[in-house]
Amino acid sequence: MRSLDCPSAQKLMSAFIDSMVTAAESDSLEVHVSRCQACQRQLQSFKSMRSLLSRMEKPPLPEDMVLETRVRLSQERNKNFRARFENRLNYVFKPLVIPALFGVSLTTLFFGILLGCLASDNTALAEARLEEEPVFGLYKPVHTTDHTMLRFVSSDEQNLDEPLTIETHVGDEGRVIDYEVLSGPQNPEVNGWIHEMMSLAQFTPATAFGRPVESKIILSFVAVRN
Amino acid sequence: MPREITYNWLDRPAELTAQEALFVSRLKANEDAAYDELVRMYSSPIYHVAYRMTGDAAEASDAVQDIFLKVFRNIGGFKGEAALKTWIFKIAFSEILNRLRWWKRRHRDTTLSLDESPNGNVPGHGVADAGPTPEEVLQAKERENAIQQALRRLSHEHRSIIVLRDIEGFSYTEIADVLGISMGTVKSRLARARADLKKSLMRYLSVRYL
Repeated sequence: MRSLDCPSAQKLMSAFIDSMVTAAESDSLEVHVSRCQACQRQLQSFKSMRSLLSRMEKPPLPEDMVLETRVRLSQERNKNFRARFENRLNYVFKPLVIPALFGVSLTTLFFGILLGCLASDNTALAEARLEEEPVFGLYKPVHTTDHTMLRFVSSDEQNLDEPLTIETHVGDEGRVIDYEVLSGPQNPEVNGWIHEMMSLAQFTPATAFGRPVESKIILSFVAVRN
Repeated sequence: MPREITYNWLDRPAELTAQEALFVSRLKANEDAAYDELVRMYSSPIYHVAYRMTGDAAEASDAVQDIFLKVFRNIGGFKGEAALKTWIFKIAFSEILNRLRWWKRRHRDTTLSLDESPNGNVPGHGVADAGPTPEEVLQAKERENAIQQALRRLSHEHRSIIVLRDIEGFSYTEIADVLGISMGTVKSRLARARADLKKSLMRYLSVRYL
């Protein structure tokens, strides 16, 4: 163990009271102070001073200091509201960007493949069906192939000097419920055969979603002379 | 020979702990609760340091507010190389030393009356306190003033290191981080500062003769 002289011992004292010396330095100093009263007093005064300082009362905080600090801090933080908002957005969204992009790409790819598969057979089938039955084919208008009306109008007894137009209300059984002459000759004779023709006429009723429904049809008759 | 080391923050690690890292991220996210917590945790120790350094309650109080503003403005640049505490105290010392230099340049001495502590009483000894006798109160007040006067006579460098180590109980590593000096410099500067201070406080030191 190296023996210390007084100046060397005094140099070590500050670190010694903080336990910041090596074991060898500590032992040397302890041996030295056990033999040297002056250094012993020095070491004692270092310890006493440290104890004195560490026992100092904490000064009380000024009233409102904490509150004022909070207020000033809050004002400063709100001053940069925009920066704060962007900062928060960054904080929240930055970690989500890569997973979100990955998720969107994966979903797009998945649906792309899925639609491609579905398009192969079913799309062709749907196209054929559309050609056959267009969308508005869900409603089929009333029509007729009944020759009764032709027979009436082509009869020589009828003399249609002007075109005859009749709005006809056809029931769901294909029979005329009501009618109204919109234009054409107005005389009892014509009215008579119109009434007879409408009583006998048979229509194929209109259908909506496949079910026969009431509907209206405009009939127009024009005389064609040779 | 017994050694009495009972300092509050003596052996805390200088690195950023996981809990602190989370706290820092909350501060960076500008979370209200985090800033409330920050003020609650650090206003008292920062004020104590500022008061011991400046010797003036109003000046220390102003310094505390400015320090927290600087912490807020700079938290984005905090990378976690050191513990949050040492980073905050680094800012605190920079602010406090700037203020001391400013006062020194204008040849203005502190206005604190050392006959009185900041609230007019000796800290911790209220009138209603039945503990100490009036004589003890007077002695404590005198001793407190003597220490504060002795601190004022030290250079800023020596005062800083004494306040950090002997009054606030920072470890050598923390002091090195806060003051931006090496461990060797901490040791040697502390030894010189203590030797200087001891001369002023000799009459208050009890030296037992073994």
